[in-house]
Amino acid sequence: MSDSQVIKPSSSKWETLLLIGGLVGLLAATGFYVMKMGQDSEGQVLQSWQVSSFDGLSETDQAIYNSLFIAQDDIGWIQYELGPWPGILDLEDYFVPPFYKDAFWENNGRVQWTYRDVVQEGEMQGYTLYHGNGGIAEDQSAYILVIGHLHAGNSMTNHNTIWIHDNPNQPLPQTSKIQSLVLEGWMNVVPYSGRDELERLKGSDI
Amino acid sequence: MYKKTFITLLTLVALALPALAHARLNIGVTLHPYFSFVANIVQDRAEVTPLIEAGYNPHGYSPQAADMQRAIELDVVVLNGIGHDEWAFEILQAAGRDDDLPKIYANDSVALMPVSGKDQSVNAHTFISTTAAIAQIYEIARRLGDLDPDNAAFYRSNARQYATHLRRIKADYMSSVADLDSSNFRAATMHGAYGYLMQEFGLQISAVVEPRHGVEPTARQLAETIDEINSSGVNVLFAEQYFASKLADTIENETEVKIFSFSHISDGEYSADHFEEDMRKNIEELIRALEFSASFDQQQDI
Repeated sequence: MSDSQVIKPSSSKWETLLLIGGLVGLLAATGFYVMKMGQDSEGQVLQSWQVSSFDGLSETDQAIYNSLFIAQDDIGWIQYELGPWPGILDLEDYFVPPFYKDAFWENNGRVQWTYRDVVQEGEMQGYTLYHGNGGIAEDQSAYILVIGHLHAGNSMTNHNTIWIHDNPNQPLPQTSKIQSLVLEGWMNVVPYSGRDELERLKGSDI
Repeated sequence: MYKKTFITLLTLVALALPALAHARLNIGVTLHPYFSFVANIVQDRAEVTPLIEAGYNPHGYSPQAADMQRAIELDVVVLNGIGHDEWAFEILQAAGRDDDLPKIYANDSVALMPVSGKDQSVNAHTFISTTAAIAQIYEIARRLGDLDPDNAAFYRSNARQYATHLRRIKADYMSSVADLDSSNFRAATMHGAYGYLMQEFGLQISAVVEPRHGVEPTARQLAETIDEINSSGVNVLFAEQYFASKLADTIENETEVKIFSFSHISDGEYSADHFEEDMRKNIEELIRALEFSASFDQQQDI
C-alpha cells in the first residue's frame, strides 16, 4: 500500500468556467483595443458621388488632391492680403503646388490649370474656380477646386470643395449648378483629415 | 509728495508686471518640427517650450517629473495627436492640465495618406515633408491667432512668409535636378515615414520593407527583408538616419540596391532652423538617390 494519497478537487467545474470566462474577457478586450486603437481609416460615410482622398484615389490624383487641399489656404490668405483672388501665375510666383511647374508638376501629368475669377453670371455666380485638365499621367483625372465666398448668389461663405472627373480632359461646366457637377460625373473628394483620425482615436469630444 | 507718487507708480508697475508677463503666451510643443514651426510663427511675441528635453527619442518616451512642471506653466500646447506624442497626454494628465489647457492639433487640416499601397494604416509622419508641414504651419497660426487675437495678423503673415521660404528652398533644389530622368526611380523605404516627402516630389514608393521600426531586425527578419527587396525591383532604399551601418552593408551586398538615409526630424537640439536644416539634408539625400538611380539605369543599359 502506497503512502501517497491523491486528493481531487471537490469539483473542477468552476475552474473551467473561470478559465473560459477569462479567455473570453481577454479576447473581448483585445478586440476592443484593436477597434479603438488600430489605424485603419474606418468610419467615413460617403455618398455615391463622393470619394475618399485616403483610399479612393490613384497615387497621382492623391498627390494633386493633397496639394490642392493645402493650396486652399494659400489662395484664401493671398486674397486676404492682396485683395483680388490669385490667378495661376500668382500661385506659381509663390511656388504653390500643384500650380508651380516643377518636378511635382512634371511627374504628376503636367496638368494645365486655368482660373476663373468670381463668376459673375449664371448658376455658378459667386464662386472662384481653379480647373485642371489635360494631364498625361497614368490614372489621371481632371480637377476642380471650387472656392465659395461672400457674393451675390452664393449662400455658402468660404465653403471650398474639390472635385475630380475620371476623364482627364473633362472641361469645366460653364453654366451649371455645383450640384450639376454630380450629374456630369464629377466626384466630390472627401479628405480623411488629422481631425478625423484624432476623433477616431480619442472620441469626438477631444 | 513726488516721493509718494513715485512709490505709488512703482507699486502699480510691480503689480502689473505679472499680468504683462502672462500676456506673452507660453506655447508648449511636443516634437522638434513643431518647435521650428511655432518659433517662426510667433518670433519674439511668445515663448516656445518643448514639453520634453532635447536628446530623448519621442518614440516610446517615458514622462519625467520635470515634464509635468513644464506642462503646469503652459498656456497652450501644439501636438501631432495622431502619433509620436502619445506620451504628451500622460504628461498633461499627470500635471492636471488635461482638461483646461488649450490644445492645437497640428494635423487637423492635413489630408492624411496611407503608409503605402499595401499598408493602408494612417501615416502620421506629416512633419517629414514641406507641403504637409505648411498645412500644419497654417493650422497652428490660425489657432494661435484665435488665442492671441492682438497678434493674429502678425502670426498669419509670418506663417505665409515661412511657408514661402520653405517652398522656395524646395523649388531651388528641384530646379537643380530638373533635367534628371526619374522615370526609372524605384524606391523602397525601411520605415513608412517618407510617403509625404516622396509625394511632394512626384515620386512614389514601390515598397515599405520595414522589419520593425526602431528595433534591430533578427536574422530571419533580415533575410525576409532582403528577399522582399530583391523581389520588388527597387534600386534605392531609404532608411532612417541612424540605421545600423552593418545592416545597411549586408543589405547592399545581398541586393542591388543602394541605401540612402533620411532624418526623422525628431532629434538634436530644438531650434527655429531645425526643421529647415533637416529638410535640406533630406532633399539633398533624395537628390543623391535620384542621381544614383539615373546612373544605375545607364549602367544597366550598358
